[in-house]
Amino acid sequence: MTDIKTYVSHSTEETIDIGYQIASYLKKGDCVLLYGDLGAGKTAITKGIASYFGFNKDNVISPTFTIVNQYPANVNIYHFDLYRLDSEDMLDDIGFDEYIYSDAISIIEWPECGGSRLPLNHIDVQIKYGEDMSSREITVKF
Amino acid sequence: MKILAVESTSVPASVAVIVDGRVLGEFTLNIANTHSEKLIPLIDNLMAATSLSLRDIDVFAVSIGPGSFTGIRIGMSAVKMMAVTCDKPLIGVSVLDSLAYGVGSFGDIVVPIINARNETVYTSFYEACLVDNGKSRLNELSSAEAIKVDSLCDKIAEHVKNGKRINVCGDGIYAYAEKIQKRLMEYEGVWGNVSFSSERNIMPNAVNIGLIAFDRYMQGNVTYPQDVEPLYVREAQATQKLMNNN
Repeated sequence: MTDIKTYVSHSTEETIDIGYQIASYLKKGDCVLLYGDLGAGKTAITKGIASYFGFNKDNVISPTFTIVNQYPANVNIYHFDLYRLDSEDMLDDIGFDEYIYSDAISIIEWPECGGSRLPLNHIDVQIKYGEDMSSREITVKF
Repeated sequence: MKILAVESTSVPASVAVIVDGRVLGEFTLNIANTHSEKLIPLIDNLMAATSLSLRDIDVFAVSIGPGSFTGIRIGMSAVKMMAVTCDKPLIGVSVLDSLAYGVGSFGDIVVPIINARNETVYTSFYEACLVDNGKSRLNELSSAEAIKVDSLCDKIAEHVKNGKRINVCGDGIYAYAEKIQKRLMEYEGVWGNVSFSSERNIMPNAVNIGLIAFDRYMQGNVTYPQDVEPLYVREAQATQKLMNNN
């Protein structure tokens, strides 16, 4: 059964905090798909999740150029950004399956680029700009 | 005639030395995500245990998949390197062939399945038949493919309706045995004609890779490192619509 939670944020700090709250519902092996435009706060959510599991949020940075970052923590975290993928097949080159089907928590920015390779079981986090561009509406589907 | 065989395309890391078509030694480790660390030491240890060096090997054999892209590459790059350095032949063997080989009995259809995640398996169908010298030979009925578990069950049911008994093997059993059983029970008269292999034929292993390589070598099918390509089998379907909840 799908469980839906919604949050509103008015600052980057609040978004990070919301990430922290979302993390309390996560368990080993979970895969989080992060949807949102540039600047919406995907990396901020990731900072919040990572800090919940004991990883310093200042060391969470955008994986736009690395494709994947690894954060060792109480539960290891893999942080992906698929924006720069030319094709799904490139995911094989980085051993994508080995990451997302492991015991770690995977967080994927720009999952739209992952197509058929995304796991069937996942948690969706959608970040939308509010009516005034400074706020965000964050919806989580479990 | 000595063969060193390596299997690393799935969870197990397995190495074997086959001498004149018989097993001299085998090490198999079934620990996930450790191939990059454990495979080379495993080979080293087996060489030491059998008092052989790589220079004593006449032919190298490697599993080419299908399976984990990373696992396939780790095994193939390690073994290609050895075969090139020692200037020896390299024979590539599909893991599906090797699993079916382990089961092969005549009159039955053998279906190895490798977990490809997302309710999908890599598979091929083989029919065993008896040849003159009392041995059985496996004929592959179609090429290796990646299909959904539901489609697999449909195909199995089709063969049973044609009077065949089915033996399913390979590590897809760990992930999908329950689902397959449930699905096959929906067809009338099918479930009673399907069996699942036990652990030895669930886990890919290097012994079968080596034995198949030996058979091929003796038949004159000799290849070299530059001839051996990985067997990546991608799903034929177009991408799934995963944005449906957005």
